[in-house]
Amino acid sequence: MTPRLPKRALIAGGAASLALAALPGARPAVAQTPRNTLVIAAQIDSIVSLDPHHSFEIDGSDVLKNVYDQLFVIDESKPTAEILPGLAESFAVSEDGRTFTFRIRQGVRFHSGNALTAADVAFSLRRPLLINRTPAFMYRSVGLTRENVEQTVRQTGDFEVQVTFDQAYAPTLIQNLFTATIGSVLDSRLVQQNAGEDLGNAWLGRNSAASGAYRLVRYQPNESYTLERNDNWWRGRANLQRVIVRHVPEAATQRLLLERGDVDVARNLTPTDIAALRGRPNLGIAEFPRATIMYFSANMGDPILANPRVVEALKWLVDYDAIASNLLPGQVFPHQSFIPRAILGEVDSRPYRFDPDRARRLLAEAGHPNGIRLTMDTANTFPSLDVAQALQASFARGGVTLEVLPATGTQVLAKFRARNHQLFIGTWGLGYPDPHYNADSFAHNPPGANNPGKLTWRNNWNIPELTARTEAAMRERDQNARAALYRQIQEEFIATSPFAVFAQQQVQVAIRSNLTGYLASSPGLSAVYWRAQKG
Amino acid sequence: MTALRRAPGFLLQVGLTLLGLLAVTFFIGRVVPIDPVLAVVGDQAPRDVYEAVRIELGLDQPLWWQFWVYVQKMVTGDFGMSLVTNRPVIEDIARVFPATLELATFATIIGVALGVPMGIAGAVWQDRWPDQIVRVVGLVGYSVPIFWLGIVGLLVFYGILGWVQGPGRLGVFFEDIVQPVTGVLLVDAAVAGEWEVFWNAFGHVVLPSAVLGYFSVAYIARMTRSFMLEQLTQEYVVTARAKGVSEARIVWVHALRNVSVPLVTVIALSYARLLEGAVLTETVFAWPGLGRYLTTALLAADMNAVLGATVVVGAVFVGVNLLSDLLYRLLDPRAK
Repeated sequence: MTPRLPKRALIAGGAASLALAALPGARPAVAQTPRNTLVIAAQIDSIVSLDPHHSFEIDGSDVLKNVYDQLFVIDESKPTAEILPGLAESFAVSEDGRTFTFRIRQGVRFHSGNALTAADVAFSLRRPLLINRTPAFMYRSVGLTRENVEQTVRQTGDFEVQVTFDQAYAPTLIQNLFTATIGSVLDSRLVQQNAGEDLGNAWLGRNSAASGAYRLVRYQPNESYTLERNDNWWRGRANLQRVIVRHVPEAATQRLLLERGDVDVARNLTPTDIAALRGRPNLGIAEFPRATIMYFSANMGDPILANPRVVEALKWLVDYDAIASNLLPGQVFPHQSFIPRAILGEVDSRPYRFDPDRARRLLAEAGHPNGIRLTMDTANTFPSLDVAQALQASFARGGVTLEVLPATGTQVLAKFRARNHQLFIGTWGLGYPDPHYNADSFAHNPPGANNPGKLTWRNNWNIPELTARTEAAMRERDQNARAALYRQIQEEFIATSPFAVFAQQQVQVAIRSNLTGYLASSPGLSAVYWRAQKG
Repeated sequence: MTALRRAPGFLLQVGLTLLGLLAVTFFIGRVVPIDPVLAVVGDQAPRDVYEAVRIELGLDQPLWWQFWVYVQKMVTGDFGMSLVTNRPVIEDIARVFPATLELATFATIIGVALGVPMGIAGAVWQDRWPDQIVRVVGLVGYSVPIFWLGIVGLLVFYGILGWVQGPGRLGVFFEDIVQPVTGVLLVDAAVAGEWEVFWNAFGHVVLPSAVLGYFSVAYIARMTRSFMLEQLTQEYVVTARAKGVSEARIVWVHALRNVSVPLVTVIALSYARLLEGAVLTETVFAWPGLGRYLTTALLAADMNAVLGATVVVGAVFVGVNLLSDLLYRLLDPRAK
């Protein structure tokens, strides 16, 4: 189908062709990507570093999880997060539950040809704390520190490593933690050859020392990266030989590249583009849940919001279905709790719906028969700002006058972390695919602690009893019992918390229909390239 | 001799200009309520991580001290590390600036090659059809948003007709064939004798530079026309005509010579403006240039990159002004 052009376009196009005519040698473009290569147009400018112990962005883990191996793997063929052995073939837990002994798989080679041994694993488990970048907090939260890491992480054999944590954590928690990017095992000899004083932090920012499905052969920040297949991967050989991801900031440009056949996947299209591409021959639309939830929260330190009825009223004033189907179609689905879909302990409990009358009654009971005025801080970007504006309209129907305060992302966060907000709207991504990661922020707030990293603290939500239950779930050894504990915690969270979780994000992509097996997002929290193939 | 005598004063002036530019950018960057620490550590970081990074970035020091340290480093060529790309700002700029240079130079060539003759035609045939065409072209050039023209251009010439290559500087399969020397792909490819790469890069640069160049055409044509009109009413033109000098000679030799002096300034300014980087064009065409680098850095509160890019833009302005000054002296005998 050839789109009809408006008259202005013809004038402008005519002028541009006038300019072009003056240039010799403009040649027709050649389309179609090679059969053995996956070419993706995406926005990758959020990648800060490709050092797996430094990176903390989804776009970064899309690269790293395909390049590095971890001790455990989230099964890519399953729709929910199920753990498989990775570089750790098996493990044993000590009597007191604090010490884990990992048996390391033998015969694995790094891309460099070096053999992978327990020395590499011990090096890689210590290194995040030694370079001390943002993700290191995940190891500190289980009691590993810069100071104790020489003692807590020990190589006990050529293929055996022991780690002692500060508490008896649930084995599933530790396994899930070690599936994350931060658990990547590095080629310690190669790193040391290239390391400066920074344990290779700068070098690894743009190079790799890995053993995974693909080798990083080229990375230009804000431009592109190229991966080549590792033919000796211990899990088997990836289907496609090469993956090229190109930074294309503009959605309309991504769409043109896809339509021309110059890329196989357009990663960041708008709902308008998706609607236009739906039903086109040779193109398909695919959706992948992503473990990022969208919520707004109420500061319980505020005199109006301290009343639970007011907070409950707000939860009845969200038009959940309209947000999912009209405002952010294809980008989110309705979800009302803090554990994302596909993660252990998930619940599909969604008691709230849009009910302004009920909200008015609750407000009247709370002593506000004539309504209230509130402010909501939001980043001035899609999608938070768009949802905040929609909330302004739906709140008004229940008698809540909402003033939206947009500002740059860091500015809003600083205010939120200082607890100077009334309402805050934002998104929250999962750092590793375990329920504890989110429970620790949404349902855990030790009394007296000062922790702006936790959402509970930022909203002055004091919950000694729920905090104790979250800690119990964190230690529960039995997987099913653990899942049950999280379901109970979430029930209380949904009923009483100052958080209104209203959606979970999904990644919607348009792909050439000869491509199968490509996952733009997975329960293992990254894209998966090695299963992709072309027909 | 005079030029040599004036050199130290000139250099001092340039230095002060750049220092002032730095100071303004630096202090604005610190006054705006953007937290560069949060830009590094993100939303979920606990307090200890936040504090460690704050000290690492030197943000615990007094503001004037931070500026002093910064200027000291900059003088030695150390622009600091970019928070976003995690590598030295100077390396980033060495990569993005040639991309912009390539685009801006092509656009300016197009602008001059078409704009000057069109402006002259408009003046010579004032109010007749060539003039009307120049006016319409100018009007469209001034009023159509550039990102829209870029997208439509891509749709027509890449999407439908397939005459040009798509977005980006080079096809993905041509990357890394040519080692960067100057960073300007066309030059590097030609020097290396890689003509496949050269033509691919050329196919990529044609459309964005034509879109950008179109706006230069509009501007340059309009200015040329008005300069030319002014000259054509001068007494020396009347005299020349009375002496029987051909109309072509009057326009192309006598009048154009006089027009060229102000025109050089106009072209230089237009070129300098393009060298700042055309953010919207670069975004639409996925062109990794200076404009997009600066914008990305600003939005990410990456102050080292912002300051570095600002200094480059400032230096470019000074440089282009200097160049147009020199040309001015060459073209205008009185200036000697």
